[in-house]
Amino acid sequence: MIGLVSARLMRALRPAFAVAVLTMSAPIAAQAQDTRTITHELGETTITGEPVRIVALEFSFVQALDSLDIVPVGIADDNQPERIEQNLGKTIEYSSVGTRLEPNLELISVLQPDLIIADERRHGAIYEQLSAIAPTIVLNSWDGSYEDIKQAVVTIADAIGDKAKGEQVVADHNARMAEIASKIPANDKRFMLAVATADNWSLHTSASFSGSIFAAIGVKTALEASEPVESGVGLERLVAINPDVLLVATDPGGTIFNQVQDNSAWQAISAVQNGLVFEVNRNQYARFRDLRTAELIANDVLSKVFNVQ
Amino acid sequence: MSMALTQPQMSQPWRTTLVCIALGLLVVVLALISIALGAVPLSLDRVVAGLFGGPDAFIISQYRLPRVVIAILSGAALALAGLFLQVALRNPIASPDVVGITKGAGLGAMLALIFTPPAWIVWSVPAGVILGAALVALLLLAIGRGLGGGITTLALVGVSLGALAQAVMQFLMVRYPRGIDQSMVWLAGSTYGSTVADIISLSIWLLACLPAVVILAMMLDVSTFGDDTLKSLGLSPNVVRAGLVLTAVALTAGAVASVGSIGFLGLLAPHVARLMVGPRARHLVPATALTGALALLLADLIGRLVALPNEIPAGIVASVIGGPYLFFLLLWEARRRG
Amino acid sequence: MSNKDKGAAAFTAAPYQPDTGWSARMHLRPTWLFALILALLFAAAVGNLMVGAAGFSVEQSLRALFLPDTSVETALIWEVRLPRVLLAVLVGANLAVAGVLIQTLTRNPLASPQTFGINGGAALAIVVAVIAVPGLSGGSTVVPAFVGAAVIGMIMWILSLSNAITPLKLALAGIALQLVLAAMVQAVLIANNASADIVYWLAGSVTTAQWSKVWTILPFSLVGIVVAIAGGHHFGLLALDTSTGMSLGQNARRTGGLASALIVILAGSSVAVAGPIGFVGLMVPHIVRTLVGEEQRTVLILSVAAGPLLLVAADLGGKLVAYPAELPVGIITAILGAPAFLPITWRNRNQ
Repeated sequence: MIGLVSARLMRALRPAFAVAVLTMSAPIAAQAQDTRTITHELGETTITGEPVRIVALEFSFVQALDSLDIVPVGIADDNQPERIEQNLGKTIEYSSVGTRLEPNLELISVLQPDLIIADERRHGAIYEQLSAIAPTIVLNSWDGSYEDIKQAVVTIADAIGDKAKGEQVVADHNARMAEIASKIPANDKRFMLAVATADNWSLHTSASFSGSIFAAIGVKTALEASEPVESGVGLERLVAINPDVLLVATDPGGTIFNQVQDNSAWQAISAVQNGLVFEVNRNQYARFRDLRTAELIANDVLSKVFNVQ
Repeated sequence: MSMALTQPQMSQPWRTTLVCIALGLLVVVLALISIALGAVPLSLDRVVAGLFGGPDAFIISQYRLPRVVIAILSGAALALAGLFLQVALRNPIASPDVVGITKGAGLGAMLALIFTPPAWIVWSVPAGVILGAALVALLLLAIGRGLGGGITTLALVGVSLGALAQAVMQFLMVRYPRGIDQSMVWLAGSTYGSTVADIISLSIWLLACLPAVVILAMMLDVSTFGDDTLKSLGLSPNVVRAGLVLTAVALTAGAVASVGSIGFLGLLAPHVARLMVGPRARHLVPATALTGALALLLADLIGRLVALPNEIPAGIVASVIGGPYLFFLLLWEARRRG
Repeated sequence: MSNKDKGAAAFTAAPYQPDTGWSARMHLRPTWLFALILALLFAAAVGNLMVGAAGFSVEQSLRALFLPDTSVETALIWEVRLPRVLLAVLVGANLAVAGVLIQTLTRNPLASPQTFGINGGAALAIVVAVIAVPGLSGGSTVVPAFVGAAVIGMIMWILSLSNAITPLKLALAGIALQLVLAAMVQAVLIANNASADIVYWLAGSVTTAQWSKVWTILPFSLVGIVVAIAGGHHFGLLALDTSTGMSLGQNARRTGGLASALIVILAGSSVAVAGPIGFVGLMVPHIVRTLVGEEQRTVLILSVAAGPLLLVAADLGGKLVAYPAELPVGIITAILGAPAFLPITWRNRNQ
């Protein structure tokens, strides 16, 4: 037991050691270029120069890099390149490094990256190994709020040596969101994003990514809560919340959304009666969680719900 | 499926030695193959160079090698845990997963995954695993004693505890859905992400268990003729049984903390070993450990290669291979006896 | 007796025999008991109808139930809560009857659709089918469910024919099988990134009940339960024939085959509409036998009422315990049922 704990401690201390070795072993680069210390979720990482070979292990990091005009060399794309294309609205050249859940470390290492961007919840456990490959920063995408996502863009920009550009990207984004918000007519409609799976509903609350987008453009979220998602709920809960606007996120294939159409309880929901139910893509509304997605959701709300172009 | 260690048989030291040498060689060969093969194809000289540094050092020394070693150690530990439980509970299908110890360990790990911050899980998960496994085992022994029934009762008490742990795990998954993906992979069992530090921890842990394993193996060796022999030698069968169960718990906890809750090894490795070397403990213990190491090594290799660049957790490969073997075993048993 | 047999004797159980011990003395009149269980079921069902995430008053619920109008309350009571209660009733009855049949057929006190892996087989087949054929949903999932349940049922049936495998060992074999199946389900889910979506169904749930699901399971319930009760006497004979498994006569074999088919239909259709709900099929037959004794038809009829009572009450508990969120009913039955293993094991400890 003691052995276990001490070895674990060693393991915990190792990244700091590895980074120290790394910085010492690169004296030539260090004298020519500046060195920055990036503070992230799992500590601090020293980055030298301007990384250009970057591996991104979450969708939102890919979009953040894209907004900074950088194409990552490797992406954990779940082996579904069409998702990356959907996320960015264009095709980019990169190598897949496997799934976000268990990215393939061998493939990451042969890309010889100079920066790895990882997610705290998904990749916290392999932080040490990632750090052994390249300087790694760990951000919060999976559990992150809209503000976290914005902050992540600035942190990533700082890591690649152009913090000002990251701040500019966020400022531009804020301006666009403010413009959309200004076009939205005054209303007291209650909005909800509900993910329809094969057998049940997951309701996104005010604490979710979509909830904070709604707040940013000045519309109400129907469900106020501190947890971002209420999972595994039945139709009755949806009827009880009774949203005025319902965005139903689905994957291709049959979901419970198809099954409830004839149910008179479903038809009693305000959004259904007002014709304000919209089926939307689950990748874009619930998986990507980035600034482009935020603008897409905001624009959708503006054009679909309020018919403003 | 002969009952463990209750059948007298002529000792076959030569045969056991041969089997163990063959198994050992197979483990070494498979380990080398595992180090040589992976998502990134490397030539043999680069593999060898990678062991000593150079551009491939990460892939060879920090990625593949730790996985191979962890698979060998965990496989051996789980297989031995299964053997000890089968003997202690006198039941051919007792194993850490069937009698709920793995489930208890899994529950402990899940509580740690959900309720401790991500930065802590490096140590909170192993702590949860050990506590969970130990709690189930203690309840198992306490309730089994309280019920006062035979040995089969004990096995079914374990099943009941495992079912309870499973129900609580399901409750947690439903109430805290954010960690489901991670929990599922962890519960399936995988060597993904093993490091040199993991090897050190597991080795220390298993070394601490080793004296108990050796002593128990020697005791079992003399108890070939059952409880009566033990009594005549002044050993209480209940003490030996408790020793077997607790050692099995320690071995399981070590393995589960390293690779997650991998099932079936503990069930099947002792059977395969018994087919090869017969039922005597001094033959069975080394053969079982080697068989378990070989099995997990193979499962891990297959899991790494079969769906590149993705991984299939080794625990799932073990189940998919182990499941049909279990069917076969049960059907064969039914035909032979029925 | 060889040494080996002597060693084995300590835990070799005789084929399952009807319990004639202490419980026999406190048997109740079946008719009264049936009426009592029905009354409790009615109460639990009405209670279940009154409670839900929407949270309106008992008075509103009763008015919506008996004086339906165009209100939201009426829609919820008639289109959400009522089908949910009925689904729980049907699934409870199916699982309880399947439990009685499988315990009789295998002469094994620890047999149930869950412990013998039949629910697991159905669940695996459904998960594979849904992923292979994305459009598959609703009523069509009964087909893979039957296939999966039948394959596992067949394996366990063959095993149970062997006289050498004791009931308790057979139960362990079934549990091991169930673990294999659960691991395979996990494998399929992980490989398809679908874990989070399906965890509620996998726990066993009636939360998303609709009339369509009631219509899906109803014919199978009716046929299965009616045939089981009509044939109750014959199935009872299976239980009495404890001499040897293999000496069953031609008729007995036919009866056994019919019972197996009924188990597959009853358990498979339950899994198709509500996921693999555990422990109902294990607990209910034991409770009923403790109360009324061994007469097969009586046990079956009482189980038809007691199974629904357990499931409807458990579902009510699942609605209340984390209100307004809900727990899948399968988790409630598992938390109640896992400790129930202990007394059952205790009662059979000396066999």
